[in-house]
Amino acid sequence: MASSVPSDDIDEQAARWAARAAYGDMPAALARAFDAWMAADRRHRGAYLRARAGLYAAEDAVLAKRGVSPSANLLAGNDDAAMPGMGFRPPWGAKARWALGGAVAASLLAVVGLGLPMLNRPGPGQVAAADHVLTLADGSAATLGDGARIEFAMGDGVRKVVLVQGEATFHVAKDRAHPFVVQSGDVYAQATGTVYSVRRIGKTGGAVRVDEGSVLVWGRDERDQAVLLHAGGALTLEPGPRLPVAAGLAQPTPPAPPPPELAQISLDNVTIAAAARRFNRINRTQIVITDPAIGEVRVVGLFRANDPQHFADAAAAVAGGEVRQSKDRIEIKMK
Amino acid sequence: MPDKRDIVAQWVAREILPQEGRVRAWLFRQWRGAVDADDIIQEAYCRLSGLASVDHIENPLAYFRRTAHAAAVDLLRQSAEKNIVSVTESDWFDVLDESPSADRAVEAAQELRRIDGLLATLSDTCRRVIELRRIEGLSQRETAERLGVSENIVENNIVRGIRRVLAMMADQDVDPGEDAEKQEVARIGKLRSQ
Repeated sequence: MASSVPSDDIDEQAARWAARAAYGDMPAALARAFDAWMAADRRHRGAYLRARAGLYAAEDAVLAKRGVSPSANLLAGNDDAAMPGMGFRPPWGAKARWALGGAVAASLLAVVGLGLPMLNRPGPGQVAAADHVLTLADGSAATLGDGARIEFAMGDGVRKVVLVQGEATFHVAKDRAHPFVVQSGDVYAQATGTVYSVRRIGKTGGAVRVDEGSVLVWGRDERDQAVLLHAGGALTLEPGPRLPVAAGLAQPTPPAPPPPELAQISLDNVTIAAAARRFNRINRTQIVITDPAIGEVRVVGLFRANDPQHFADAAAAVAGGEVRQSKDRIEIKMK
Repeated sequence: MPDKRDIVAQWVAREILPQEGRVRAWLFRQWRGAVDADDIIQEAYCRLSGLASVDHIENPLAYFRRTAHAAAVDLLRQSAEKNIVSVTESDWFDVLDESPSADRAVEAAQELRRIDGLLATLSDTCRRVIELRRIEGLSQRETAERLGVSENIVENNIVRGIRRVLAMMADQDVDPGEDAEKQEVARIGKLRSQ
């Protein structure tokens, strides 16, 4: 049963240790005292964890108000092309926190390329349209082709370009905290710091070509089906006409898959079953999920599109299953 | 390179603390006098502190509930009340309030209120200390100098800030008497029903 030390005292001690560990000095003697305290009573460990968490919560609130992304974004699933593997879904709070921290005011600039009447004169920081290159408010550069038109807005944590017409190449200023998305009809191409081109195709389509870095491409609201293109990669998506709502969900034309070596499959909180279907569309070796319970587990991660084995291993690890291989099949089942 | 303990603590800050009040309320409704909700929560955090990583945890709230449930059962076993029968985990989940996913705008507004609430509970000095340390990267001594106070005072403010934030989290989302008690926990002398 409870020892004679009131838990309030334990919480006070824990808060002090947490404050010292994060903000103060812990010379050797004090560190030893800390270890002794932690070992002295089982409850100290839990109280200490809670106190450290409380400090992080306080920090997050202060940082959010100042419009700073939480430091050491250790928990967010990130779209860093260099890190394949599983993570867990970023807490909703983390995303919203940036949106509300709101260091960036929403501003809309309509920019017009050559060949069309100038509606707005470029501002002082911007390069004139006559040079084909426009500097956007975030420092990114957009080179417009003949007759191209774009609109740029920053808000809600996203830098958004709408490609109204024509073709444009973007040198995206690196800013991991704020994704840069180009919308061409119903096709979206997102990057964090890259060089890529987007061309309008028909009413709803777009052709994306990547010169440097990596770009995530998807159609309509199928971001969970996005394909990650790398330098040298290109993808044309034509989602097809939007059907009236009464007719049911629009069926987009399946995109011509980019060369597998250049493509990755990005999973943004999708079920293992849905992810497996995507891999199976592209690869000869098919993933089979024997136990439905495994299929329902949701995952976040980034994988080479032509490596279903790696995905199956990771999925099995997360869902507590195991992988069994046969000739053209990879089976994921419960242990 | 962030310390492994940091990752777990940050995960707790973002995923567990905001749910603490709610879990306390459930525990209170579920176990009533049989086991003290504070003891259960304390034991649950103790178990969480043993986590080496949180990558495998898909649903933090569910994980916290399961941990608290296991803690409650263990505490109960240790207690002198031998004639109280423990509730199975599935019974408990029937009672849980799975609130429907709210509209994004509503969630955003709630989050904003939550952040403002947290900030309101911190002293100005505490806020300044956090800004100087985390945003401007000053050391504790430099922070104290900048604010014109002793390092002791800097530390005291942080300590108080932590305690207030935790007190706030413990009280959040507590609405006692929400549903009528459906599950009787203590069935003295009866076998566990299925």
